[in-house]
Amino acid sequence: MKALRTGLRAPQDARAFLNAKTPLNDVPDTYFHTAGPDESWHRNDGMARVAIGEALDEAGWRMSGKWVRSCALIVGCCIGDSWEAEMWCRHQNPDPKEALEASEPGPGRVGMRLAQWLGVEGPVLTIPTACTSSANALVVAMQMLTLGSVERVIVAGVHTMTRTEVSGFESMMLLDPDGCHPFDLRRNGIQLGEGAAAVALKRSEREDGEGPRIMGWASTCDPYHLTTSAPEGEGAAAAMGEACRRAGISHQSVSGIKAHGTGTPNNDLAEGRAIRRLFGEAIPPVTALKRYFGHTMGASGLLEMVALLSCAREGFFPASLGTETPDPATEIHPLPEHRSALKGPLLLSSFGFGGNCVSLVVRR
Amino acid sequence: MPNHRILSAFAIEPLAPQTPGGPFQCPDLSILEKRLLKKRVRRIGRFIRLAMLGAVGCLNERRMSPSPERLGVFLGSGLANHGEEKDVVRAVLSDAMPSPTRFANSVSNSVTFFIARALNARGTNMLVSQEEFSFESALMLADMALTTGEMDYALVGGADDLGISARRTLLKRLDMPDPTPLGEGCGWILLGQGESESPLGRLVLAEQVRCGDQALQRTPIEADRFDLINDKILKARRHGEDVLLLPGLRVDPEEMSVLKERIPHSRVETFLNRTGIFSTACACHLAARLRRMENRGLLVHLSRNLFDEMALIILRS
Repeated sequence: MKALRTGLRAPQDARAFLNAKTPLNDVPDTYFHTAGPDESWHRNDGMARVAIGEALDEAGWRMSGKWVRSCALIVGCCIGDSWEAEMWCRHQNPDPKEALEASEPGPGRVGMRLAQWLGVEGPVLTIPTACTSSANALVVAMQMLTLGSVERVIVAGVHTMTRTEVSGFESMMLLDPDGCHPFDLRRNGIQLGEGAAAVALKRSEREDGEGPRIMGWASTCDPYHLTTSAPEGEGAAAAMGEACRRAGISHQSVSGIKAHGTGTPNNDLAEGRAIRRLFGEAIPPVTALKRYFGHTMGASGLLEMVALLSCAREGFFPASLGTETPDPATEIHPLPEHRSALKGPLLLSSFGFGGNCVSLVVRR
Repeated sequence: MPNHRILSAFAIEPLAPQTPGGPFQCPDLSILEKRLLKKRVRRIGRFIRLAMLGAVGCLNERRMSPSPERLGVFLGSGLANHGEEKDVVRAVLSDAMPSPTRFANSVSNSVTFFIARALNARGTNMLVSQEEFSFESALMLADMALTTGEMDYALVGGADDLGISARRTLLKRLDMPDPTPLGEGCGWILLGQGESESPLGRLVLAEQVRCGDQALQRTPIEADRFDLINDKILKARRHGEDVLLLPGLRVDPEEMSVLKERIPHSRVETFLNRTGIFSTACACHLAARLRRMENRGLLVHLSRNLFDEMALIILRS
């Protein structure tokens, strides 16, 4: 990110990726422990374990430590084990009917398996709300910590790219063959990605407690259309405003915005107008991160939060990669270059299919 | 402990099997749709229709018009929209382009979008998919949204449909032998914070009993875990109050009799033999029971998942 380079391969490689037999070669196996490439192996789990392992290391929480007794696990994931079924079909060439039976609907198993691996004894929830899944997982985690039902929460977001998903978005003509260009005049769709992120959250009574802090949140629905946002961005603006209210700040105190910024004509237009609706002329610096990692769907909310906070730790607020000529119709001008790290609260938004709007206010 | 009011309840219950050992399936939904909706919703599959009709029925029961921004929708489902999802996968496996509508509908939370649109619910909108604990998890989410004050009302439901493609998947997922009588249905309750003249009951507790000591986990019927569950029920129970124990998945009669012996004025009612087995059968039965208002007292539902973890729901009717 610092070098303003995308981590994505060329968009046309997506199909090559999906045809590859062992596409997880580049993931280190440090945290895989006993789960080898046997029937307990799942791609979602593999990626999530890497992310969770790193989050635990950073938090100084040892695997199987006493903390597991009052720790919940909330996973944001919008697909189940479809990748495994596709791979099985592709490489074992079974009867298509059997392959269909092998496809595992519902992502609930991902959370259960990760919980077994971690040994957490608090509640385990898997939130599959499309592109807002892991952002909603953060909301649920914050509710649990606020209410004191647990002392700690591990939140993970994970997404495995599947052939089904690529074909589905293709059928909706939502993929941009040139990669995504958030809020740009030439934006023409999304660019898919995959990955995982995790955070270890701890209840803290102290406002000035160590580390980043989630100050406010809002999770709402704008049931305008299943796949497109209300063009004037009313629902998105309401979620952003409510997150600020809940954080106890005025929107004027927001120092920077991480937009959802998918690169689709409609969504970016609606989001830009939502930001304008809330902030008026005084819009703080805006960035969109999907050109760096692609749209990682259920993982995107958390992954982008982790990326943003990591950038802040490195001393900068990232530029909106892929935005070269901002579309005046979106009414915002995302950052063309990195800025030095912003000091005040950051507003992060995730929007998704089904009208889901989630906004978070985060302090470094 | 939460104490949210249950303002209404609605269930779409399956009918008894036509043949011995056959599935428990819901009646034709079109009749209910005509009754509940002004016009037929097009281009949605059976699962979305089932869940949506249940939610609309539940809100209609109360004839309320809560503020759209303060009404949340929380749906638990074990297999979610497996029917349309499999249609998409089937097309892709055949190297065909899937239908865009089917693909959009198969996206996890499309079901809750259709519910939100039908009810103009603009509050929190969540699908939760936690295998056999999906309805319990939806109740937990709704409880938190109400307790933190983010919502004033929460429609909480559980729904699963038994399409042709679901049978083998469900048996495999639930690790049940064939022939297990499978079922489908949905149940919804409307929870509210505010005062209401005549609530059907209250949500007393919904939680996964994973918590507590390590010793309570992954053990057979052992005294410790039942002490914990027993304590929770007795803490919730008012003096002299009747307790109806509703064993769910993988809770056997012997375990229930242990609880029954410990809890005064309690009796056991099995329901999986009336709904068939599916991940959210408890939602269907609890909502139906609340709606019928057959008896006053505590309704205690207990179930176990594949990992030998337990979940507990306590409602007061």
